[in-house]
Amino acid sequence: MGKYLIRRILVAIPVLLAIIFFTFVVIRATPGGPFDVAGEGRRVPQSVIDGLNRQYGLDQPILTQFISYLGSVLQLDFGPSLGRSTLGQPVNDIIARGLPVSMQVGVMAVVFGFVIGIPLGVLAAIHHNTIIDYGATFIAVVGTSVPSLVIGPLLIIIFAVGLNWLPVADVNGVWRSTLTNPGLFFTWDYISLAILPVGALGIGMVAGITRLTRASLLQVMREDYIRTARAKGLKERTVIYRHSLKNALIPVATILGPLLAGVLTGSFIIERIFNIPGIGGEFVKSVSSRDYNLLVGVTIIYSVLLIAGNIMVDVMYTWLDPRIRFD
Amino acid sequence: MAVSDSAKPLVLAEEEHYPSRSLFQDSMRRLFRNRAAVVSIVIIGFLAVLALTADILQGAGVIDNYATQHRGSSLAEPLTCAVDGDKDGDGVPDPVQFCFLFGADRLGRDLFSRVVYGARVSLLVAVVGATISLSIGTVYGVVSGFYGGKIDNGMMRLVDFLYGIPMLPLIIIMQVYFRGLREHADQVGGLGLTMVRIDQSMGGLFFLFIALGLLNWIGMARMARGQVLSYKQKEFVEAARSIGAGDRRIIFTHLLPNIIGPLIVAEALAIPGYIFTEAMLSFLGLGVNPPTPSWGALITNAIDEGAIKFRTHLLLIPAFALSVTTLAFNFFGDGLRDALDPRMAGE
Repeated sequence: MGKYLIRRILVAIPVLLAIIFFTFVVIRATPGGPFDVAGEGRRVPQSVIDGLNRQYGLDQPILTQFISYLGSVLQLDFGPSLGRSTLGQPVNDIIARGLPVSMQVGVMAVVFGFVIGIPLGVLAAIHHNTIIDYGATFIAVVGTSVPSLVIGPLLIIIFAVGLNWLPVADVNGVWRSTLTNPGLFFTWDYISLAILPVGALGIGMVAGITRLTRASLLQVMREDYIRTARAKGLKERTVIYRHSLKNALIPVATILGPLLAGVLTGSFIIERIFNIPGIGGEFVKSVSSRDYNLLVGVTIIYSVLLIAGNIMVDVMYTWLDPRIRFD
Repeated sequence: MAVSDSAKPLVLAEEEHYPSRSLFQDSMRRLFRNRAAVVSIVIIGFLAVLALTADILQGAGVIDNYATQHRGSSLAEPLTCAVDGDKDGDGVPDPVQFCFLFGADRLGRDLFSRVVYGARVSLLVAVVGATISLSIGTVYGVVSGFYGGKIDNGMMRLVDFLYGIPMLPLIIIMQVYFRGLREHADQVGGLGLTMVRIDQSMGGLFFLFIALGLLNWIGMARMARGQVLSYKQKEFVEAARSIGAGDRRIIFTHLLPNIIGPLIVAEALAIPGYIFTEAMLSFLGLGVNPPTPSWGALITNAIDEGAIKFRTHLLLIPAFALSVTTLAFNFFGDGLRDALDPRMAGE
């Protein structure tokens, strides 16, 4: 086990290096730079651009830049931001501000997905080929077919604008305040603000988990040991919850990997639609402002999270199902 | 010894009663018995016809050019007509030129026409994305699985390596690069310029295809390899080899027909992903070039123009089109899977 973990981590290192190198080089090879546009299409004098390039070391050969950047990344320093509105601020600060907010939304959405998805999937499998099953399957297919780009605005139109039940605008800066004041998590201010984005991000996850739970449980219920359990006269409830579900949920754990990727994709869209000051929004902003350091920094954070998540899922898999061995 | 010859005609007679059906015909029958799949095929077919005939429809005056801006019709309500006013300045209002079924956007462009043209982008993305990843993935996986040994080892190392890379941030960065090329076309030469030209002539779709094609072939390659590995040990391959069939014949006539089914199903189920990715890239301003409409771009425009509060139809109509299409592809993929592998039906 330990050996396997070490090997996986060792394999992840060149992958990460490749990602950093690719991002770093491609974004610098892109015509135009972070200091080109002064806003409203006005041009910045070339002397100013040159000065800024020199100040931030962008006039160096690209390999020199890369090596010095890699050196600072190894010390967990992602360098200064180059975007117009955040020029000179440490990228670390920007990430430290945004990441916890994004994590809150992501974690809540994943929890929402499991809490609704597993019971729905179990219900569908128990009532296989009945109206309940068809209903759950339909919800699952619709959930996977409608992107958060559609669900997000739709939820706002219905619950915020139409019914006026929930707020959309974070007037008091509640998202950011949770970083210093965790007590806010239990206030209506926070909950009412979080319901819509978490719902929009979570519906797709509910759908995926429902489908997987249903398929997995149906398969397990056909196993011989379930027939044995029934044959020795166990109650149906015991057969399903004790004997079937435990085994059926093992494959469901693997969906955590894709879910992490979903959280990532979702954060780009959801955070912009709902004006959440998270890291996805920062990434999108850094793309348009050509903020090299922020862009590469956020890409590294995303990649580390995804790779770590995938390794974690595999490790969890061996722990849940002792028959599986990675050696 | 007299051999009973009455058995033979009996078999022949039975064959006459039951005309043989190929496996393919069998699957098609199963597919067309699946109501959801049939409805999906009809929807996709309808959209495809709409997308293919968009230019003809426009020539016939049924829909408008997607880029035509009607002055004075900014944010026109649905079921109103363009009032372009008095262009020739003779004091008499010009005759009505165009009526908006779904209304117009802020620039006075007909929403219906833009949604129809948007179908083009989404379907093209679906077809081209699927074709690229299916062909690269299949070729890669078959070569790797069939030849095995060192080739397989090397090729799969690369796939494993790429598999660990989160593709989405990289696609975004590549799109930034392509966008940079496009915006500074004067500074690029050679191959870059050729690519920018191709991309411009396609309304920004070319770079989108490259990015999307790179997204999914890795999973396909793994799947194709797995399939080849399981089939190449089977007796029918051995039999073919024993009568002198070459590698090429074995791959194309014995292996491919067996492995292609699951690959096509996986690809059909991946199509909504391509459509989502296009919509997301358009949302981030990295999709098609304006004024080319795509459903993602239309939704984004609507959000930017405040359609969440007012004139929600600007947002809901393209959103509906997008969702119905991905829904149709999902049901179609499910139906295809059940049809090609009846053991999986209902799971």
